[in-house]
Amino acid sequence: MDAQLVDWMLRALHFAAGIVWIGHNYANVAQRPHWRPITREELIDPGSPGFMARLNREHGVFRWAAVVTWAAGMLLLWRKDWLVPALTLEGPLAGIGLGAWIGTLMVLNLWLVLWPHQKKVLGFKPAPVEERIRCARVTFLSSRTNTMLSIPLLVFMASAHHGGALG
Amino acid sequence: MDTRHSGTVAPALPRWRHPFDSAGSTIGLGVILTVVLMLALRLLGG
Repeated sequence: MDAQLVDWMLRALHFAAGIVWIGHNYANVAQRPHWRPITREELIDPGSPGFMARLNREHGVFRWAAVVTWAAGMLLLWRKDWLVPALTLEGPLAGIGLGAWIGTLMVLNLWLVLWPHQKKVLGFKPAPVEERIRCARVTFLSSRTNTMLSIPLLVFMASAHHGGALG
Repeated sequence: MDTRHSGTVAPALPRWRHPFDSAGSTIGLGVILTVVLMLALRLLGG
């Protein structure tokens, strides 16, 4: 396959999956701009199996969109022989490299902090109600950490492609 | 409200809120972090 076509497809995949992932994060910010503690009553209602299945699929899509975004981005850098200089923040690739590090942190935060706690909040993993209430707070802060990190991530990605800001 | 000692109402201290508890301060922190990182990169790049 033509190398330029592969680059274009990887870039499109990176953007599309990134929009799905970060779009979900911002949908959460718009729906819940402020922290509201979860109540016992909300957690005790087990919900219908169909609803739980939809919830599981929804969260799965966003989690894996994060992995696809990260992998497509790393593959793009590797194909251009930019991976090592970018990750070691060398010269003009320092900006995109910093973006790659921030993106990596965000994926790790999603998979290693947010999701293990979210599983308990949503009831996919059994836990006492008090533990689920505690986990709801952890998932909120973890999600907002990614919201905050997405701002420098997007700025560094944009500046790396369009030159300028970071020279 | 504690009125046991003097009979006056003790002023309630404002509860500390995490910056992430509000969307505005979350995004504000993101902007500050962006500026700090850009300056750091400029300094590192000479």
